Amino acid sequence: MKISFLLPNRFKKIGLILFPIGLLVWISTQQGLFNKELNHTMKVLTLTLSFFSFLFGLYFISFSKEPIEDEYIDSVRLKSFQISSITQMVFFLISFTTMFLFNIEPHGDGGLSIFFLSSLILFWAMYILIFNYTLINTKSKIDD
Amino acid sequence: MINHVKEIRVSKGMTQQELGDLLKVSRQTIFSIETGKYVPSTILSLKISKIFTKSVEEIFILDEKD
Repeated sequence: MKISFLLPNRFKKIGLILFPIGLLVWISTQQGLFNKELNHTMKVLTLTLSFFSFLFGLYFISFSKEPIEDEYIDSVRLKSFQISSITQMVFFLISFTTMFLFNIEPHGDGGLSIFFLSSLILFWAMYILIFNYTLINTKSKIDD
Repeated sequence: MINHVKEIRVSKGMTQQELGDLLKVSRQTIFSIETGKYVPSTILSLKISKIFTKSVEEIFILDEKD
């Protein structure tokens, strides 16, 4: 029996809406665009909600089924995960080597959070890019 | 792995879409198999051989690299 942890295809559309809105609102709030309109509590709430909207959008895009989910798609998923993992490992290696060689340290908790957040986003962005590029590339080459 | 999926499919007058529909896979999967970019599982190979009414060995042949 094949167990699938993937979400139905409609979640991809939801993810494509949540992801950019979350990202835009999160960046705008971080940059202080709504400082006049929002008090501290509302600002924290907006930051939290927009960040989770962005993150869930990213996960929905990554973990939604394709219209026809078959073994070839499974193999493309696996290949994309492998390349993304290697990319993330290279990112960590380069980052830590640079930090060690040039004695650079992330500034406080904020700097460390940004470092780990960028490595997380790098992984999922790479996965989405490779997966969709492979599928689109195959589709464009189809002949009959 | 060398395969004769495309030749047999064309000889039977089938399109990639029709074969994909019969196998319940996408057209991309059929294209990837035909171009040798993807080696199908045993289950899919057996389904292909059943549709083509040929043995698996007639459709898929091991090459020197395998």
